[in-house]
Formats: sequence, C-alpha cells, structure tokens
Amino acid sequence: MTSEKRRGRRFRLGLKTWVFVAPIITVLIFAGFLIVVLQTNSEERRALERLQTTAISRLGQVTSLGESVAAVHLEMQSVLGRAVELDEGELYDLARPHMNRLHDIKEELKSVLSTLDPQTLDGRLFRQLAQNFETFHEDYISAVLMTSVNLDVHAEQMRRTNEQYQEVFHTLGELTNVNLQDNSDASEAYAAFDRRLTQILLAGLALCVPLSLLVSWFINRLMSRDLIGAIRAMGNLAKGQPSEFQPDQNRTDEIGELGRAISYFEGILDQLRQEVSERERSETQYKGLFDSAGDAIFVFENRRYTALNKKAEEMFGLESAQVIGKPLGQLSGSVHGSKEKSVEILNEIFDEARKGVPQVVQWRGRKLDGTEFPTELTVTAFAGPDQTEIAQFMVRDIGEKIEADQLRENMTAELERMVSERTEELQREVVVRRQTEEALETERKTLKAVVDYAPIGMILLDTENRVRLINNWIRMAHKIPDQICTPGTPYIEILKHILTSKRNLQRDPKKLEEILSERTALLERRESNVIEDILPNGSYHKVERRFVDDVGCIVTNTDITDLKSAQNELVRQEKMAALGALVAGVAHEVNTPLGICVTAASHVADIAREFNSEIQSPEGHLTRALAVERLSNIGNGLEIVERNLNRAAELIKSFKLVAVDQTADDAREIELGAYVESTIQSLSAETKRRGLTVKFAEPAEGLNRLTFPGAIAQILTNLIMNTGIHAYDSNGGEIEIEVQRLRNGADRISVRDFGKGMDEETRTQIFDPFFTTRRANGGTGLGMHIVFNLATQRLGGKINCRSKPGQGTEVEVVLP
Amino acid sequence: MIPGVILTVFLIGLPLQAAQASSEGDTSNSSKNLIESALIDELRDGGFIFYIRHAATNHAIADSDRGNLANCETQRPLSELGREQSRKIGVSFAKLRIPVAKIIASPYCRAKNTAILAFGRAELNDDLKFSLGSGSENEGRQADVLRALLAEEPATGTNTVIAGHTANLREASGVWPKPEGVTVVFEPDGAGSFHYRTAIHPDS
Repeated sequence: MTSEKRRGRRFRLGLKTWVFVAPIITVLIFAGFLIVVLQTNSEERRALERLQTTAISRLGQVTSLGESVAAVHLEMQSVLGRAVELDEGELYDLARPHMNRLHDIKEELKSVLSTLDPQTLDGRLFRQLAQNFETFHEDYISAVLMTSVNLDVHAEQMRRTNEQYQEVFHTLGELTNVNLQDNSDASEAYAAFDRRLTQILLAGLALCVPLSLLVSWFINRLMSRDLIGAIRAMGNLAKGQPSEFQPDQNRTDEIGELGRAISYFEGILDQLRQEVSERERSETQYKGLFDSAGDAIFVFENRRYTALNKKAEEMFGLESAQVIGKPLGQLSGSVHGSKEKSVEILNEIFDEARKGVPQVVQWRGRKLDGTEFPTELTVTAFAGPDQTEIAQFMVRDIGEKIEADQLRENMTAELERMVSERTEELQREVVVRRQTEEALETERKTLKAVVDYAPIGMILLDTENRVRLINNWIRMAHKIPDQICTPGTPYIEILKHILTSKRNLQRDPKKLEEILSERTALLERRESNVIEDILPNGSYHKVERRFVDDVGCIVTNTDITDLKSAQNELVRQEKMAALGALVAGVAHEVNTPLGICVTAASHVADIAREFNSEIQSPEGHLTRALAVERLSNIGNGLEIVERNLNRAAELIKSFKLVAVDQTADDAREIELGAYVESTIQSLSAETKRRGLTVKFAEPAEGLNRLTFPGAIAQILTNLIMNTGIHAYDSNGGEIEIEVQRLRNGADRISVRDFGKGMDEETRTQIFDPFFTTRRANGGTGLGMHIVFNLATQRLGGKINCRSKPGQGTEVEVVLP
Repeated sequence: MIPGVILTVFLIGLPLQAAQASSEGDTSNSSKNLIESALIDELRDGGFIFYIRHAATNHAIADSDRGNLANCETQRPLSELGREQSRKIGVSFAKLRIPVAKIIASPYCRAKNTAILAFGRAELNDDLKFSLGSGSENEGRQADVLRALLAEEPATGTNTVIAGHTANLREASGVWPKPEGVTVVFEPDGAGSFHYRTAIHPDS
C-alpha cells in the first residue's frame, strides 16, 4: 500500500503528457553527461595550456638571460682589454657597474632556481647554469683584482673568463633545447587530448539510446499497474471487502478520477453499514437499562399492564405473565380501601399526570403473597401512538428509609448532649490559659525592664539573628532610630547603622565595609566572640556576642574607656619610672668627678693662700725654687680639676641627649652604632651597680638612619634592666648587644643574655600588658609591653623573642 | 736623526679621483711631501683614523674561495715584502709615539695579518671585506659602514687604525689607496663626517 502511494505521488502527469516527457528526460541525461565530460576535461585542458605557457616563458627567460650574459661579458672583455693603459683605480671604476650587473644576474638565477623542482631536467640544468655562472662571476672578480695589481696575468685572466663564458653559454644552449622539447611535448599532448574527448562524446551518445528505451519501458509499466489496482478494488467492493485502492487524492490524471470515484462509493457503503448496526445496538441498550433500573417500573397502555422490569417482579414477588394485560389496581394495599376505591384514587392520579406533571405519592404496595410495604410512587403519563395513553409507574420501597430517619433523630440528640459537655470543658480551659498568658506577659515585661535599664548595652537576638530586644543604653550610645529598633529587624541592619551612618565621616568607608563583612561572617558562623571597638568620640566599647542554643544570641556592649585610659596612664608612669632610674644612674656617675673637683679645687686654694702669705711675708722666706714648686703644685691641681670637669661635662652631655630623646619624641638622623653605644654608656652606672657586663659588638659600617632615638634608648634601657632582674635574678651576668644592617636594608638590634631563660607559656605572654612573674616584688608587667609598643608602633618595626628554659633569651628588634 | 724627517709623505689622489673626491669635499691634491713634524705632533695628540691598505701580496696566487675567509690557503697572501712592510708600519708608529687604541681589520687574511703584524691585534669587521662584485646594494651598505667608521672620533688622546682594501675606500671616500701598504690619514670632524689629511707610503 505504501509503495503504491509513493509512486502515485511521484508521477502527476497525464497518460498523454508522458509520451512527450520520456524523450525530454533522455535528452536531459545526455546533456548532463556532456557537461560533466567537458567540465572534467577542462581541468586537463588548462593544465596542458599551463604546461605550454611555462615552456614558452622559460624559453623567453633563457633567451633574455643569454642576451644579458653576452652583453656584460662583451663589456667586461673590452674593459679588461684596456687594462694595460689604465690605472688600477680607473680600471675599478670602469668595471664596477658591469660587475654589479653580473651580481644582479646571479641573484636573478638564484631566485628562479628556488622556484624549480631540482629533480626535473629543467631544474638540474638550471642548477648547473647557476653554478657555472657563479664561477664566471668569481673569475671576473679575480680578473679585475689580479689585473689591477699584476699586468703579467692579464692575458691569462682574459682567457679564463672567456672559457668560463663558453661553459655558461653551453648550459644556456642545453636549457633552450630542453624547453623547446617541452613545448613540442605539450603541443602533442594537446592534440591527443582533443582526440580522446571526441571518443568519449561518441560513446556517451551510444549509451543514451538504450537508456531512453529503458526509461519508456519503466513509465509504461507504472501506468498499467495503476489500472490493474483500480479493477481489483472494484472487485473487492463488490465482495463487501475494503477496496484497498488509495491513489493520491490530488492526482489530476485519469487514474486520479477513477480513484476518487471508487473511494466515494466505498464511503457510502460504509455509512449504510454503520447506521444499521447503530440501531441494533441502541435497542439492546434500552432493554438493558430498563431491566437493570434500581426502582420497580410498570408500564401501562390505556390503564392496563403492558410491561414491567425485573426489579418489579422481585419487589412484588410475581412473574410478569401474571399481571400483563390486567387492569390497574392489582397490587394496592388494603389501607387504600376496597379495590374499587383504590382504582378510583389511582385513576385520579393518572388524570393529574396526564396533564404533563409527574405525580409523586406515598402508596402502600401489596405483594402477590399479601404482605404490604410502604412505597413512593412516581407516575408519568403521555399520549402514545394511535390515540393510546401510555403511563409509567416508578415504585421505590421506602421501608428502609423510614427506619433510617428514626435512627438519625436519635443520633442527633446524642451529639447535642456531647457538644454541650465539651463547651463547658473549653470554657474552663480558656480561664487557665488566660492566667498563664498574664504570667508570661509579666515575665516578658520584667525581662524588657531588666534589659532596658541594664547599665551595659544589650541586644537580644533570636536564632535567625533578628532583633528581639535592644535596650536604651545601645540606642543612646549609637543613636539608633526607633524604626529599626523594632523586634524582627535583622541584626545586620543594626550593624550597618552603627558601622556606616555614624562613622563614614571619620573613617575610610572601604575599611568600614571590611569590618562589616567580617562581623557579618562571624555572626553567620554563630561563634561567640569578644571585640574591642573604638567609637568616633574616642570611647572604647567591648562588644561580646554569646550564642545560646535554642534562644539566639546575647550581644552586650560595655564602655571600657576608663579601663583603657587607666592602662595608658600606667604605661606612661612606667615610662617615667624608667626615666627616673636613668637620672639616678647618671647623677651617681656625675657625682664622682665633681667630688674630685671639689677636693682638688680646695687643695689648690690652700696652696694659693699659702703662696700668697709667703710672698707677703716680710721675712722673705720665699726662694726661687720654692716659688717654682708652689706654682707647679697649683698647675697640677688645676689640671685634675680640668680633667674631671671635662668628664662631668661629657657625662652630662650624653645624658642630655638620652633624656631629651626620651621626653621629646622628635625624629632625627643618628648613627645607630654610636647611639646604642652612648646609650649603654649612659646606663653604665646602673649596670655596674647591678653587676651586669654589657658587651657591645659594633657594626662594621656606619648605620645612619632617620628614626626616633628616644624610643631606641628606652627599648635598650628596659631590655637591659629586665635582663638584670629576670634573667639573672639580680645576681649580675653578661649581656651581648649587637647592631647590624640586614641585606634588605633593615637594621637589627639584638639583646642577648645567658640567664635562666623562660618556658613557652611565659614567652608567648611576655609582651602582654600587666603580665609579670614578679607581681609580689613590685613588677608592673608593663616594661616589655612598652618595649613592644615602641618597637612596633613608634618605630614601625618588628620585635621577636627567642628563649628556652636554661638557655638564655634573645630579644631582637628589626627596624625596617 | 729625527724619525719624522725620514718619512716621506705621498698624496695619492690622481686627478680623476680628486675630481670624484671633491664631491665629498675632503681630499686635497698635491704632490709628494715630506711629513711635517707639526703633523706628527698632531698625530701624537690623537683623534685620527689611519686607513691602511693591506701590504704587498703574492700576485701569482688569486683568491679561490671567497665564501670561507677563515681559510688563508685559498686567498692571495702577503708576500715576504708585505710582511716586512707590516712590521715596519708597527715599528714606525711606536717610534713616533703615535698612540693607537682601536684596530679594525677586514676578515681577508692579507688585511687581518697586516694589522696583526703591525700592531699585534685586530678586531674584525665583516663589512670591511673586499666589496667589488657583491652587488650595488651591498657595496652601498659597506661604504656606509666604512664612512661611519671614518667619521667616528677615537677615544681622547688615541687614534684608530683600519686595515682594508682598495674598493671599499674608493666607495666610501673617493680615495684610491695606492700602492699596497699605503696608510691614508683621515680626521673625523666630530659632526658625522671626516676630512682627508694625507697619505704615507709604506716604504717611507
């Protein structure tokens, strides 16, 4: 079937048209063949043409090369011929343009050679030509050179260049022959190609004749197949079978007409068959419906029983034959009075129903065995064919329905009773709940009051990080507007307000964004933490977040500004104490020379007084030798005074430097080695007193740097004193101080002792403020903290402490 | 005897070359001269370029492989006279106390050996090699290189020596150095150009 369909679509032309179409197809096939043959061979034709053109152009090239070489050779021969009469400079000038021409020809040959296939005869000959020409060129260079310095070789050079010219010329001749041969080969190939083309076309024509016959036969075969199909289809229809003939509906030819006619007849036959079977089916359906109805149905014609369904037989316990044909009123209960009376009532109902309104009545039915039961009777009546009256009784047994109604009434009463009991119970529960809610409300208010009036800032968050309560403290401290203080606001909003609105004038907004994102991240991880925060007004807040399971988070803010300032005050006091210690040391040191000075000065004064009295004395004891001795003693005394005063002045000067540095914090340019040494010097009184030996390794070079010398002095002072107290337990010991410049340009100051060292736990806390192992002995725990602050903040450097118990301690400060 | 007195100075420029050279505006034309002691004093102060054409060669042998200049066997070599001339040039420079710093030579063995025999060293410059037949483009470039070398002022108080061939100097300055072993003296003007000063015969 499908193959016929396909074929029907392919040929849409009429039978008569095909007579013309077949030869046209044949002609088209031949034309296509012709074009393909010509197309294919045109490539070959072009290749042949190219071959011929190449041969001809190569011939031209070789000829013009030959001409150029001959011309240059002639010129050069004439120049060399004149060499005898020329100066070597003149010879050079005359030969130069021709030599350049030779060079150009050489380059041209090279470029042609690079385009050729070295395997072909042409290529080989060209290579030989290029080689010969190169030698020819070299020979000419030698000829010019040699002739210019040695006229004796003139003849020989002329001969040599001539010989080489012969070689070149010979090769050129061979090349000409080869290309002439190529040209004639190409012409021959061209003629052979033409002959072959003619043969192919003749063969194509011969092939086309059987091909056209084949096409005609094929078309005929297809047409007859369609007709046979139509005849078979008519036979099928006559036998009452499907036609099985489906040509393309759009066919315009004769077969198309036939096909449409056959399918029209087939359609009509199908329609008839369907109508018959439809009718049979609907009758069966009605009968089934009638019999399977849930109610008993009686049909009356002219008020006599004519039909009843299975349910009716079942309900009244009878066979249809027992009542069919009998008049109305056979099955009425005795409550309706005598048989005549009940028939009368029924007739009235019939009359009413006859008006077109179905009548529904409660009726007492009676079975054939005499038992009676309540029914609901629906009566419909209408005019039947031939003036008859058709009526239908639908009888429903309502005995069970009445029982069910009774039961329902009982159950309703029970339900009402239960509802009233439950209502009372609910009322009691409501009272209890109200009391509980009141208690909760009180509790909530209490919590709110506690939070609101707490002396610290508090924010309570639920488990979703939304605000439950914010107390007044927080609102006042951060001036948070009321609209975002309402419960349910995400805590992020509060953070944003605190970190942005108030501070973007004081701080870099980018920095604030960073802080915000960091704190948000902490919040999302639900980690309890403590943060110290500086407010724009300079006060410090300690913010503590504590996450409590199932409750949320409690955020507390404490103002620790006082605590902070107390810490700072202690740090300042410690600084002053260090300064005081330094002053005491220097005062002690200065005291010694000054004491000597006083002694020496008073001694000199005595001598002077004595000398004076001797001069004044009338006795004239004063001899020349005595005067000389007195003056020499005075000189010696003054020398002592001078020396010690200088020493005192020196000490004062260095102390002044350190003292000024410690109080006034100006940056200035210092030489680090010398400065450290002078600092150690100014501490020498103190170190000596404590039995400490300070060894200083001087740097190899001068380490000049612009820095805060006061800070460096204080760091050293604190480190040295600390070592004395802690490393050597005030028993004295050795300290090594080293200053060096690192390769990256930073300077490193290291202070090393060989004392008792410390354990890891102590080492990690050593820079913490108020950490001390000697609280009982008056340690404040600020010394190292000051050192740390000075090194990292004042000097912008790094500080590092290495120590192990029993192995001493090294503190290293690196200044960038 | 004052060494300068025995040095005779040739001015080599022939009429034809002088005409060519005048277009470059640096050579003067005159007959043989004795070298003046004033010029020697100038040379001692430095600032000159000495272009030495390779010394006398064996004319019976021609160059047979110009592609490989490292091989001296295939080149026209210095003759015994040429070697003697080369050494003498070196001795004269030393005697006259003419300071020489930079010494540049053509890679041809005859030029290179002239420089090495005279001064014991030479820095080779490929563009100084004999330029005839290398094509007009190469010739032009080599002439430009040599012109630049001639115009380059030597380090203060020193002179520069270039050992090369005839054709290159002809292309660069118009001067044809003759005979073999001649020394032509140029003076850079400090502005990218140079002046011809004099030429000194190898036997003098």
